[in-house]
Amino acid sequence: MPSSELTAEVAERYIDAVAPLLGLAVAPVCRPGVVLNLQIAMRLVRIAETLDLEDHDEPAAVFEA
Amino acid sequence: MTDLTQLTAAALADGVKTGAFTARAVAEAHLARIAAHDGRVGAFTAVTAERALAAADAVDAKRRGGVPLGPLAGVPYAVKNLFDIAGLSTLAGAKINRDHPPAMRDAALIEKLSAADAVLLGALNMGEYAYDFTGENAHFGPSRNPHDLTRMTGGSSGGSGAAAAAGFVPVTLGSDTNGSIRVPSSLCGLFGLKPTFGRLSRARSFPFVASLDHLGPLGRSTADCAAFYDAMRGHDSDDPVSQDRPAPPLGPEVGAGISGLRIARATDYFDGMQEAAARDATALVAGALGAGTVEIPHVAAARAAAFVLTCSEGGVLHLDRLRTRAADFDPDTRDRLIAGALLPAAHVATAHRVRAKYRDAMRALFRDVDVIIAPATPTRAPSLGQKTFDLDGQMVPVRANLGLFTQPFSFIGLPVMSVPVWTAGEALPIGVQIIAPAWREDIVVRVAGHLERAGLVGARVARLD
Repeated sequence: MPSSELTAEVAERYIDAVAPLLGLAVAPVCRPGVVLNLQIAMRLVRIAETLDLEDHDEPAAVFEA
Repeated sequence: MTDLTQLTAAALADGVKTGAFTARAVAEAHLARIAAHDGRVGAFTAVTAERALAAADAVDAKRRGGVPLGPLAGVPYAVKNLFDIAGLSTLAGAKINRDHPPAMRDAALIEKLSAADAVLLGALNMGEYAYDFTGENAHFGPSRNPHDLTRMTGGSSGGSGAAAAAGFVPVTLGSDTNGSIRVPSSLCGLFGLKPTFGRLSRARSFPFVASLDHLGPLGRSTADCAAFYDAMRGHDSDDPVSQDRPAPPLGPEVGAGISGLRIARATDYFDGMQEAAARDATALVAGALGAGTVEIPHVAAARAAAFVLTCSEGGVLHLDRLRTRAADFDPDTRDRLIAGALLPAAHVATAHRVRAKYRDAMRALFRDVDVIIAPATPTRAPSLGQKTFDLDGQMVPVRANLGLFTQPFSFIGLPVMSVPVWTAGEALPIGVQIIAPAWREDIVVRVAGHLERAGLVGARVARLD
């Protein structure tokens, strides 16, 4: 598991790479906020990943056939 | 003469049924209070006065004709503006949604309340697309806390908190994805019931995070919340997560007492990151209930996973609007939604797995405990516009952290009521959460009712003159 913080530089590169895949044009006025929120989200991803998950810990997504 | 706006829903229904006053008089009194004061409060985005008076007249005509009245006869209420109201565009707090066509049909819960003879007074302000804990809104202005108009209501059901605390209606409906019923209930001094996930129909309400969205009532008494829940319960195949299972009425449980319940205050995570007011209120309630203590397993991971799911699912829901109308969002909402849409799928899948594992751990915990007590918010109402607050020496963002203590319970859909505590000499309230196992809303209202009868918790109508 990566342990380092998401740097602003890496976040910027990630936005440049992924946003076009989603058809999103991230305007300059949005970029600082998006970078900050990606950093916050990744901090919380790391906390969520502290829970040990086994192979049989299935997702909780709801679907009934 | 009685000021009808000071009465509970139960007292209003009784008065209409016995003929002490008419439903029209009730509706007119509340509409007059809204007209006099909502310009300063900002609770409503639409007041449906014509519809309300017609509905009230219909209730009065039923009584005159000897037709049995519904349990909420003539009781005024209002709904967060993410509920469809026939004839109005469903705003969900967003400027973008002003362009939506008017709803053709009421939300499922409004239809149920109409069948119970309740009277809808309008649509309430909220944080944009429900991604908010503050009650502020860049497009429609903030909902202001009626107990101090310079302070936040909390959100995202900010107008729902404001309207009930201001005496505009005795009960409102809100939505709660991560705490949006319980946070404004805490900051505005109300009882707020978030039922079990899948309990109340979400049909024809605007979604935020389909995996986590709940609807429920905010009111000025346990009994009023129970009465609205009772009128709204029942399976609905129009909501894909609605569960078809027995839903006994809560009304009889409000006075049932707490005998036999094993009650514990949540420790560790729930001891930190809060002001003394939250700690004192929780201790007061826990002490009165003779609560032991319990440590909630995996709680930090659970809260973090709730955050991840929320921003990802929310971002995906709004992806097309983010592509085409990004400039029309509230910047605070927009940038979080864009970041959420960009999150790698691997992290979202992990969050779903954390959710299942945490739910299983909590099910095991509930074998030994019936009720968990925890703070609802880390502070009393912050000031409007306040961006950060100091929680135990850490300066952290208000917007993200008002839900610090609510998120871990909505994440696994547990039934929770926030109950309002007013400590000595304080003009502002703060809430304490009562949490029970899934599908046990009966336990939640038993505890809340007990605390209310003991005089430890209670709501107040704000003085606005």
